[in-house]
Amino acid sequence: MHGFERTSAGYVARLDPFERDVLVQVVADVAELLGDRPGARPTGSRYGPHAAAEDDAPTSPGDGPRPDGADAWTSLDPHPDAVEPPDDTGVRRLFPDASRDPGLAAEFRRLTEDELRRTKRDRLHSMWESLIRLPFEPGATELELVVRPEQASDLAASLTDIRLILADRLDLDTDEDVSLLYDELADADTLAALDDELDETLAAPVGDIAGTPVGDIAGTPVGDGGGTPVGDGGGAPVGDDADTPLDDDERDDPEESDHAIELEIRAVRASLGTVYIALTWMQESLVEVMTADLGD
Amino acid sequence: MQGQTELEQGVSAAEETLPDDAWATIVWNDPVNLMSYVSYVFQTYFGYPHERAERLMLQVHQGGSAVVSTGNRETMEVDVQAMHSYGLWATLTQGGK
Repeated sequence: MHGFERTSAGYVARLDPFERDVLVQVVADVAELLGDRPGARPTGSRYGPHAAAEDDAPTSPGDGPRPDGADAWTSLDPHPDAVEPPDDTGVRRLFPDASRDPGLAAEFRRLTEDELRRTKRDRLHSMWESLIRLPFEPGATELELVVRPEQASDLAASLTDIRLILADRLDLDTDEDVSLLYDELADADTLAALDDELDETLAAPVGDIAGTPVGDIAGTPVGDGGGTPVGDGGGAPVGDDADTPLDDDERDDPEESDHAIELEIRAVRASLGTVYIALTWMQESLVEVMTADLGD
Repeated sequence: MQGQTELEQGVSAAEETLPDDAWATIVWNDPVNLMSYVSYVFQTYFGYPHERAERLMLQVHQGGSAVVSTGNRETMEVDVQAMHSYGLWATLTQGGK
């Protein structure tokens, strides 16, 4: 991935198809995370493999009221029911309490959260569409993401939202936590070494970067140390006997299995951390060109 | 809050001396938001000059929080909502409380 540069066409970042695919998946996962409110428009089909082509008409921002009442905010119905804070800690960071006064915070949430949620979701959707539609020239090794200056603020905000969710999954609560993550991943071989070790333990390859971490954004915290139950999501690649050709001996050895789970957690954390750092760099380069244009 | 500068103390004092009925928007530090992005938001959303935006950003980053705007409650609610939209962690306060 190359950071954003100013060109006559706009702000341009180059990324290879694999990076694009990872990004598309992360964007989709975070959007899904914001779209699962009861009563909100179901988003399950928006990010399927063929969604881009069929999704134009109904979901672009400003398309008018949605049939399911998601536009209650702007309708005459004042939306009388209280809105509970999101259960998911990452999502909650995107919609934080606006006051230490619980009554004021609840009132603010009731009046603003739906609209904010829609704004963030629509922005992510635009980002996802831009990424999925990047033209790929035959024989080229890189894709060019071109962002018009007037779209840049939305993209920067989406990058923030995604990084906030990833930071929650990575337990990045302080500046020191972030520094430690960089240290942790400073060794470029970290991922490869983890994968190798895991391969040896399981005698089977683990999910690739694109598949493993993003599936975990939606549900499984990965930074809780060794005690996190990896197998509760149904999609976790460890411990699934059907897909994991372990010897009977290995399968019955709890220590071996614990070791494999711990390795898997570390591998997922390394993958998420790598995405977090790449997105941080992407946002830094974007804000840099945006800021340069402010001075003109 | 560590390493308060004279400036930070000055702004904290300003916050404390807000009239009881005045509202303020406070932005809080977090480990995710980029300093350059926070400064950019202060410049573009509030229209603050670069220097003022940088000063407020540093106050958030180093001091933990900063009062970024004051006014009536409705205006501050709009500001807080905007900050949340940008991904910044902001709260409303009245009379410096």
